[in-house]
Amino acid sequence: MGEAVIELKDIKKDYGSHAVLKGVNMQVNKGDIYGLVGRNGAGKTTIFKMILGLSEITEGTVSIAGSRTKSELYANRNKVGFFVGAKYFNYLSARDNLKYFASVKGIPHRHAKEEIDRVLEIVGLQNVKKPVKTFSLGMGQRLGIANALLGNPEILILDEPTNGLDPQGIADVRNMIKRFREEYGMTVIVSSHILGELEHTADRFGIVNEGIVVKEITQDDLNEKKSVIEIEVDDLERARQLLGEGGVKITRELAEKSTLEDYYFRLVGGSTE
Amino acid sequence: MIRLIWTDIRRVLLKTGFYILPALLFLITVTVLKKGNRGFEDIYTDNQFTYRFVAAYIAAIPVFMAVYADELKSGAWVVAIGRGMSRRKIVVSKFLDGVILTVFMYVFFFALDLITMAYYMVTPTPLQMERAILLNLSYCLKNISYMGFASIFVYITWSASVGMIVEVIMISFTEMALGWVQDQLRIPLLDISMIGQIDQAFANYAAGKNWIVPAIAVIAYIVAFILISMEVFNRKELEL
Repeated sequence: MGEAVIELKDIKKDYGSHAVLKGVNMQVNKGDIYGLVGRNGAGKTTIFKMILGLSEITEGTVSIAGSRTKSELYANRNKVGFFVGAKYFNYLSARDNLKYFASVKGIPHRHAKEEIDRVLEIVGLQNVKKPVKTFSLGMGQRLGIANALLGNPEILILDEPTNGLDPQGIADVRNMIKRFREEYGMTVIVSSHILGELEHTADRFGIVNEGIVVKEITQDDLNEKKSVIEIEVDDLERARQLLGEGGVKITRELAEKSTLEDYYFRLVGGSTE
Repeated sequence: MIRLIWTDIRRVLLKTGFYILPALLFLITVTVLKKGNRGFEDIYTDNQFTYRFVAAYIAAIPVFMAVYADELKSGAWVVAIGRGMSRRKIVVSKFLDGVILTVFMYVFFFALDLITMAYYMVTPTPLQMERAILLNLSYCLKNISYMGFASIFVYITWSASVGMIVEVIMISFTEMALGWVQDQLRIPLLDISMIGQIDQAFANYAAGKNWIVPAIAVIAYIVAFILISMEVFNRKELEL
């Protein structure tokens, strides 16, 4: 186990008689890219809200960067950057929006310009001059991510950052997430309801279902080797019969096919890399 | 907190929409409302009407939208809380944003009065000038109080539109409704209300009587609105 930067212990959240989280235990270690996966409504966003203090915890404890008291937890929240979606003041420019949020985050005025240049460069908006109200969804998402990066947080929380993006936009966000850890040493927690989306990005996963983290797994668990033989047959029915007679149990039959993503990139160009 | 307030004010002042209604008032003032004025008393009487029925809305709507609607839409409060800022601080800073911007509006309105007087070559005596300033101040304070009350509804409903509707309703009907109840039921509702205390404080000041007590009552009302807002906001579930 590495050094835990986010730790949730037996977190419960009720809305009246409806339990949304039913005892979440989760640990994110320093340097992880932690994928929180689960279907819509499983409780992923509620888990983030608990971490960020946006919602009152019914029961349980949250610790950020080793915080032990409530005041330490409040103080350590400034080590967390998070993506609130493509939200901004649409009458301001991207730079003025970031100037505003830099101030909200307490970044000293004398460092703000340099910091804004840095995050705009990371998300590839450094040369965009047009007003924010004319931004596409993808550009808006990038600006949201730039906002999350302001202040160079140690921990980055991205709640469904690829929602509504086209395949190229999704691939760009994936690559950005990898850069955040590799180049800036951040710990990233990212959620998605599309399982395949995080498979090659995250190295640890929390699988959320009906308000609990059912299991935490690593890439190694996914790479667990199974012995597989591949045979070529002309008559599939006959092959099944022979294998059955020989006492071989067929557990799964696979039909090999390209993913939609592979097909898309082959057709229109671009790549996931 | 001061930095947050300054950042907010700067953001609002960059918003073109913030100036549209005051510009409209300027046009209405110079072309309709004060047309034909000749003396100070005429201007003063017109101002009572303008402040009560026109300027109040013109100050309230853009200020409320700029302070509350834009912030909710941009996720700014969520970012601030997620970075560890206390909810109490946010409530106080938003209220102070509103106070500063409302004062800014009423300074503009007073400048309009001075322009009107200059246009009609009216030179007010020091006493007349004091009356004009007090009238402006009293309506400015009423708007701030309405905003304080209406902001509670923003925290309850998480909708700036609801808060703004409450404020507009208050501007339109509070004095009339409380006055009617007071007359009909002989209960001094208007007198003890925030609005009644504001009027009392200014009337007492002008008459050289004790204005401190009603002024304290006004402050108590405003503090109560802020405390209720804090309590509501502390319990509010915020969305990412």
